[in-house]
Amino acid sequence: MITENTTRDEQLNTKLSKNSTIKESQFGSGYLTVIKNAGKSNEEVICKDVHNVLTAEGTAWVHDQCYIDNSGQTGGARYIGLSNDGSFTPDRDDDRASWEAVEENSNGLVRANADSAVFNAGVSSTYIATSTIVKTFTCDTGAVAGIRVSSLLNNTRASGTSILVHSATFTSVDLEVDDTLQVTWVITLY
Amino acid sequence: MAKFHGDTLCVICGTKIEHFEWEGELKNGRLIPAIPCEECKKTL
Ligand SMILES: [Zn+2]
Repeated sequence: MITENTTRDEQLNTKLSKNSTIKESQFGSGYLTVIKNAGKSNEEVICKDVHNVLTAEGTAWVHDQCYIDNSGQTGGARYIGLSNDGSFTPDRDDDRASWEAVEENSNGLVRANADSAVFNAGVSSTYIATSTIVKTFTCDTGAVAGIRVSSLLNNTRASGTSILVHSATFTSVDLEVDDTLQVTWVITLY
Repeated sequence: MAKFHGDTLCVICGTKIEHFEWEGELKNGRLIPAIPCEECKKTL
């Protein structure tokens, strides 16, 4: 077990707060928080706890992996992607093909495995269990305008086999070279 | 008290830390702790 170290907490200096908007009636849901330049003097919270769309293919995949035959296991849905497509509005029928048609694929914003993925068993008063999945992207080659969608998939874009599980939109954000974008997905299942 | 487990990157060198556990909410409302890997711990 790890004891929190106050000195290093202060160094990290992030300002994420708890998921106060999660309600008990919500089941198997994803919530998205996006922070530009987290921990820097020009930090900007782009969105907080935006409720997701859980796709049909994602729902089927979760059921299959967890309850049915666990076939073709590729790993968790902890790969985070971004898009700046102005017309993409995720819905239940979206899938890998429709997502990859609009997905960022350069400038440091390529879909990537999470930096951190943590399970929280919750406390006995509520049993609200969550998985928190975090990736910080750095815009590295050229500026990118209008980033406004994030999705969770179960593999890299290069794999060509991933499943689109969760997706959510937010107020668009422009990134210059060296700007960071911290994307946090919190998934509840209880 | 809530129990947590997961993986993260070392706060100093960025190496992946495969599995760690802790109990209780973090300070400042943070969701993921900032921790060093075993190698970096030796240099502190
Ligand atoms: Zn280290």
